[in-house]
Amino acid sequence: MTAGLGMLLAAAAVQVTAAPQASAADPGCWRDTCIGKSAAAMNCDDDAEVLDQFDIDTSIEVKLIWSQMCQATWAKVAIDPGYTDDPVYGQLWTTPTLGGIEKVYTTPQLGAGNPSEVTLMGNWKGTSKACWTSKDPSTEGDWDPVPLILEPGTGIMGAYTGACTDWI
Amino acid sequence: MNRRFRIPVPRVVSPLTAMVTLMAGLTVFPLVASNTAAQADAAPARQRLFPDAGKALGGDYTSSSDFTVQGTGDSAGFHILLGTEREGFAFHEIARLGSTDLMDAGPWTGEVCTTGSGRYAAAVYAPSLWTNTPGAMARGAFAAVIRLSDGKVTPVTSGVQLAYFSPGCGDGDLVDFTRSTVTDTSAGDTTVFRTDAATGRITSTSTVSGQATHVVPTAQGTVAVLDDNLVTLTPDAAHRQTLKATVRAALPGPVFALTPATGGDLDLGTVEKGQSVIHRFHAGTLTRLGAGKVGDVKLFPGQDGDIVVGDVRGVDTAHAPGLSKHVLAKQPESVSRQGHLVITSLASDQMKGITTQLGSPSLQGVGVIRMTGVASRSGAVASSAVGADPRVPLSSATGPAPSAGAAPASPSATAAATKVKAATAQPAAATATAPDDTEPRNCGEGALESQCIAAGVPVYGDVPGFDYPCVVKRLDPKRQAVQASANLVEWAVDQGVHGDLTVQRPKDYNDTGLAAYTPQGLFAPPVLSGGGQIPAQLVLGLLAQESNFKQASWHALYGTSGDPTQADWFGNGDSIHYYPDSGKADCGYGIAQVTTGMSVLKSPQYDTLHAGAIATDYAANIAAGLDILAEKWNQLQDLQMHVNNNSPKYLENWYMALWGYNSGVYTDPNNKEGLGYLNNPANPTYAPDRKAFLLYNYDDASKPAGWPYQEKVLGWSEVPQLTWNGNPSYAKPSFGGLGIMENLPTNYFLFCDQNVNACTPNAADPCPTWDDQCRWDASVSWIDDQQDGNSTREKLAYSLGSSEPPLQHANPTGPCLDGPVADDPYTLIVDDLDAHEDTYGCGDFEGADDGKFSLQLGDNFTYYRDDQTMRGTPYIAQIDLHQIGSGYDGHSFFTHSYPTNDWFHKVTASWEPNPIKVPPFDQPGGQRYDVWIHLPATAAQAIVRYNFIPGRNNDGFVTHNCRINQATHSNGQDTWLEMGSFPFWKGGRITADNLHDAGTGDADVAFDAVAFEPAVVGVQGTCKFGY
Repeated sequence: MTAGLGMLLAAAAVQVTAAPQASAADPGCWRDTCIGKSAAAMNCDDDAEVLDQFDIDTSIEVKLIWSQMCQATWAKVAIDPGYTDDPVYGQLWTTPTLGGIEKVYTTPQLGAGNPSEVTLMGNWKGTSKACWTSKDPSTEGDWDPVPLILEPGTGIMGAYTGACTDWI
Repeated sequence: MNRRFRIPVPRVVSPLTAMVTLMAGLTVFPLVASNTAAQADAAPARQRLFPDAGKALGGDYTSSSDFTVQGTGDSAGFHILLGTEREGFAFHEIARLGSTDLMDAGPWTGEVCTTGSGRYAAAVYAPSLWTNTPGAMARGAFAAVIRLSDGKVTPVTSGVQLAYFSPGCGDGDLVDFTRSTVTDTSAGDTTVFRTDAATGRITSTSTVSGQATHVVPTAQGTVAVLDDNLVTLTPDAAHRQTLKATVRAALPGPVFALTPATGGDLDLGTVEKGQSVIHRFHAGTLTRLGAGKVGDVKLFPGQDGDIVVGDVRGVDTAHAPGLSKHVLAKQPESVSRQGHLVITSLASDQMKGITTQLGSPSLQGVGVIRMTGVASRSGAVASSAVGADPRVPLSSATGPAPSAGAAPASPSATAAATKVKAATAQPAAATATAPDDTEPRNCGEGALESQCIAAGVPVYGDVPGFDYPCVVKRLDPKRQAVQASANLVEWAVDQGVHGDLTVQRPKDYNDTGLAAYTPQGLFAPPVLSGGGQIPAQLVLGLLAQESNFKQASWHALYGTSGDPTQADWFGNGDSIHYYPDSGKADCGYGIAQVTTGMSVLKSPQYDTLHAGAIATDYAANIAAGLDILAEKWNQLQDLQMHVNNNSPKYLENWYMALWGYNSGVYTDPNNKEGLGYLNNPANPTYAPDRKAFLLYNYDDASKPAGWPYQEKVLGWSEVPQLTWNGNPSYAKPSFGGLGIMENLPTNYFLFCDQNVNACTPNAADPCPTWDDQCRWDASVSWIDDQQDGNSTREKLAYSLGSSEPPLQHANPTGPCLDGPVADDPYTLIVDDLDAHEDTYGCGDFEGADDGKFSLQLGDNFTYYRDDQTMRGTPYIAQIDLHQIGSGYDGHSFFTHSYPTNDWFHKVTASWEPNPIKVPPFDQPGGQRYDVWIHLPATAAQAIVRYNFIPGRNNDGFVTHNCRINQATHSNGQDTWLEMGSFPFWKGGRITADNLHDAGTGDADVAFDAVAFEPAVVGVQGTCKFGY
């Protein structure tokens, strides 16, 4: 791990695993009303916790985060500021509580000047996954890098275009 | 404390299921050998129709080769029964036709015939309720052939005609299926599918202009009735797909039967001057053989010629080679190949209105088929019950599902305001095309699509054309419809027709979130032009015909809840294999199948309160339905179209209003006004010798395609449907001086007059143009000096102003149930109701913090392929997903099991304990919970893999799987099943889906509640975990 990413991730870990603060501001939304809003603006990051996380080597870190107060989820994606192998975009994919067509919130492309980005929020009562993808939404559309998980033994044909947490 | 807590729930048992008795006999035809695991039950013992067969059939009966093939339907499918004389006519089921491709199909109906060779049977079949769509049965049924030696079923095609004269079995192994494009404004044309029953293949497809009936392959070619003639149909020399009709003889009257005799001759049954007449067609000449009482003379094909049965003493067969006759005092329904047995009654008990635990692995209560027959030789009469063979698999139709809404053009002038089902779909093509849920092999050199797109895909998003336009959506726990028991329905009708349906529904009634209302506060009491009221029994008969008294889906037992019943939610013919078609969805809701105001594609639409009440509250639905019926009455009043003395208090006088309720009233003054020809009793689609619907017994209910809509409703108004335990669902009307029956028209040409609708009474094809000239727009009367003594009036079972009677429950326990450990405040219970936890007031409220339940459909995304087709698995997966008022706190979801990797039907459920209750990834050991799953009393049948996902952790703990047979562990009762203890960290959860085993689409997969009980020590449980 590079020093830069290590510091960044350590700071992020502290931030998202901290216990809810007694002095936290009132949440600005709850479940459905959080959809499409900023966690910071709605004070939802005051009690943020990580539901799932994976790292790609030491270069990319993807977290699915939730807020108990807001009952909302969002994605946080960070890169080593020196990482230049692929374009990296962060994503939060969500489906409604009883299922439906998945929707996405995508971050701007990450880079040295913005090595960490968060998405807008979804309703925790639905199902969510956090992803990174190399596909530029302006040219590739809403690209899901892991649209389905095949049963073991079934080969995937094609190059990987990102990775996601489980649907939670 | 860990213990299993099982809630005893009495199982619904129809007393009529205890019927099949013993005495197995020899069989000529072996049964189907390939049984599935779910059908491993023993075959029901066979009961001879004639216990003393030697006395009834003759001492030599064991060496007889006579047999008969019969068909009758119920919600298990269309049963094909075989009975051989050598067994004393011990009938058994050899095949069952239906479709696992349809959602909510309900009971099935059909027709069957035996080929001339005696080796095969041919059948047309369709869901019974589809017959409510006017004209739909002209091209809305499935076709199949059955090999009698082993019951092998070969589906032939779909989109064929279901009528009393179809299919046509002829010489050898030939069968003719037909499809008609007839509408309310055109005779259209008739396509003949010549089929070789030995292969099940269509050998030719050809079309003749006009509405051809009684199409039969004979040694001399294809014969049929067309216009007013007996014709032969031969391919046109220049265009082989066009049939040329050659007139062989002019017909003296409407035809009720056409059978091949011997030597190339034909026999015909016609109705003339109030009699059923038999004719022989020989050498180009039609010769009258004799006559009997109309409806009591039947003509059937036989093994070596044909057979005339019934009131046939006046039929001279001496000069009609090959025609044998059997005098019988009863009305025959069918006859064995050699005429040794005459069947006089055949129907499933369920068609009397009995409903039971649909979806039960044991098919409890359906497949109980009662039969009465007469031995021709001795005159012995016998009855028996035949149990459907649980080893016989349902043979599912293939090919595109015919559109249930293959309807004629509706009256354009009144379409917006009428209840006419508005589907305009053309029938499905006969040629099979790949269903929408077929995953293409477009990845590399023939690999499945999923293998390529697993590496990433651009998501298309919502597809508006795949949405269904109905105002109230399925699968909404806030829009569950309670299945009203029959007593409630009768009470509501009694009150409603008199404007007293004012029971107060409080705010949030049944957790719908709706404002308070009263049914007839929302939908004003019906106001009839000229005053008066709708007779209660008329409405009860209408509800019986429209929905079999079902406000909720067929899956919901009375007293429980489910999605509102609909004929075709998705506009795709109820198919689970095709994308929804928003332009064709029916949007007819509930017990009265109310369509008005319930589609977003039509204006005006009802608001949330009105639409929600129509969908969820049987009483509001009835109130809305009354207004539509009154509207039809008033439209006819405006057109000065009166029946008898025009008093609405007599049921008979609603004949034309019911006609219009089904197929519309044409009110555009710029065109011919009145009532269309499809429901005209003179229409040749209906047998001219038919007797009043249900007049003799309930058998008629199993063949609803044989009567115009208004005749069926009036039949049900006179003969009540039965409840689950065999009691009448409602009171009979007051018959006045008649004592026994309604005074209905027996002259089927009463609405046929050259001066009114270009219609010639007593002609074989009374209105040959079949267009708007055939509309009836006059008054009619068949009851002179009409008064209480000669007409039928309502009889109220509930006094006006009486309070709503108690709801009767199929499942008297619940819906609120205890957790696995009663009153344990530390156990987390994650129920499938999610954010709507208080539907039944069970105390789980929105915002409850135990955890969350969620579903995912298919693979969650849509993808626009390079070939400009769409992959949209969520749109198909939703079709076979249902909610039902059974399970923990009175609600669960269920779907069916499908093969691994069937993304189009995959439904994934997830139960996650609230992350705030479990530790982060770096806490050793996590939080140990003893996990319990709740299995509902109904819809828990399949083997399901549960995935125990611990959540991200530093302990290295990984996902564990555990397969559970929901059927054996629930055994038809609400059950908490202890799975075992398991550690969880944040994000940990349980998931399950409906693939993962060799699913066939048959077994129910239930998703209900999961309980997480904190555990100090490991518990092995069913999964042998103990972690």
